[in-house]
Amino acid sequence: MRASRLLCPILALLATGCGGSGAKADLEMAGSARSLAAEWAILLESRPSLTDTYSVRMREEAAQKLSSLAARARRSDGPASLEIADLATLPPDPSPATLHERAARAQAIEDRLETR
Amino acid sequence: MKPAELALGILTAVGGFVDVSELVFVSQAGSQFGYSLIWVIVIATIGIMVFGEMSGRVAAIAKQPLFNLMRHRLGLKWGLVTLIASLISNTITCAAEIGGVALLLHLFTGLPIRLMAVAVTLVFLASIWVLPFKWIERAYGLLGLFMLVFGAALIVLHPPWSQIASGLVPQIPPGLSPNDRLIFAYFAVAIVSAVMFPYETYFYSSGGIEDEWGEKDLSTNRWTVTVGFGLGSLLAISLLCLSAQLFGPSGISPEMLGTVALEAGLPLGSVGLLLAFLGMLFALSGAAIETCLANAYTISQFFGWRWGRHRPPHEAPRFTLCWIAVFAIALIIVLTGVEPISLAEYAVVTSILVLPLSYLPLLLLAGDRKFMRKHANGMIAKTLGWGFYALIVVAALAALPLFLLTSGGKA
Repeated sequence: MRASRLLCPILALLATGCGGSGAKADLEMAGSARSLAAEWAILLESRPSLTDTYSVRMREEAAQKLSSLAARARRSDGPASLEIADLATLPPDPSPATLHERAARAQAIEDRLETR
Repeated sequence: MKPAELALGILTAVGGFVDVSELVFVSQAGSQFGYSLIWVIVIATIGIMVFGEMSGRVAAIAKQPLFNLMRHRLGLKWGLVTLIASLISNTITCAAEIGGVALLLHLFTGLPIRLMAVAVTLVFLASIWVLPFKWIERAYGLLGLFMLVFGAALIVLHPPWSQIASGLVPQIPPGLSPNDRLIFAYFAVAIVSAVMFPYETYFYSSGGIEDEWGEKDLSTNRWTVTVGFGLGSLLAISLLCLSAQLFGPSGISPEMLGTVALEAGLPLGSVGLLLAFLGMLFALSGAAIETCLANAYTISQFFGWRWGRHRPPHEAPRFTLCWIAVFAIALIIVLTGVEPISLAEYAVVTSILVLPLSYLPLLLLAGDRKFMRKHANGMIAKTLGWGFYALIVVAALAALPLFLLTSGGKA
């Protein structure tokens, strides 16, 4: 009983600290978008030395993850959510340059959110 | 001690050292913090060597399975808490490994993930049903040696060895923001948990009893854990260094399990990629079987049922039912569509919470002269054992808050 009385306020504090912060959620989503775009770019750049099935499936997975990230960002109400949704929405067959540009934009959002 | 037998045991330990959680966390840690978490891998490896050696020694001398000890040393209530927590942690880990294997097969064959998950689970069930214990352990462990391609890839890259060596010194990188320090701490705890997964000792000590270890096997036990785990940790360090070099500068913190294979694919081309795929496939498969059997061992040992793969299934029916049920539950988790990387994250957090409860009875029994006679913990084993025990208690207390505060190391 005593342990649970001690645990409750700690868990409540943690929940407040990490749970609903829009900026925190944005930071997490921007980090994922940055990494996924960069992963996709590196896959395109090294395509000649990789097996075809692997390259295709990995790009499909990256596209799918970015698309669900964009949908999640659109539903979110954080300070940079819409911007993240926009950069995670990619044209059908993006070039490495586009992907690098999106990764850089995501990094800039991360930097901005971190200094808040 | 036969040298060939010992060499096989060591190689098996090397090939089976890395699992899905290490692949994920070590790669993410390397890309985010460069070489500055190598020292955590080294410390955690010494920790698993200490507790692995102890569990093997207890199996050889006291002939006591770990969960039998737990019930007697912790009492029924705490023993049951440990049992349930271990079952949850091991089942999540097992699901992460099955999901990882299915995903890898999907990436390299193009076949649907869910179909692959069902197929690999059937293969694992057949492996345990058909193969003798030693073969199960050896086949997957030895095939996991394809993972050595990551070591070769690192050498080919000509990494900055002096910077890698500086990563051996305990440190917190300078200039990190308070939030990044929390993420750094989260990765440190996650690596400790991933390297010291409790299922490894449950499986290892139960395996010792399955193989009927005795006093004569003590040196094999010592060599296997020190050399086998030591070399295995070099693989984990290679993964971290490759990620630091290849992914860090591009801003990649692997969000997809398949990206890890690129650590060999980028320096060595399609051959490297293929070998990495095979290594990951067998390492994860071995871990899936180990976690599943670890659960069957723990339940059977706790309740005093007949257990062991040395018995035919009809002689240990409840044990057999347990490992079949664990695979079935893990498969259902995978079929819900949860990603292996997310499962690996949950697995490391739940595992670190179980570690203190798992290792306390082991430490107590390994130091008990009534059971262990002249093989009880000496001064060095006692100091290392309690020192690492204090470390895992601190890590366990920090794990959940760090997981929540950093959104699993992401923000």
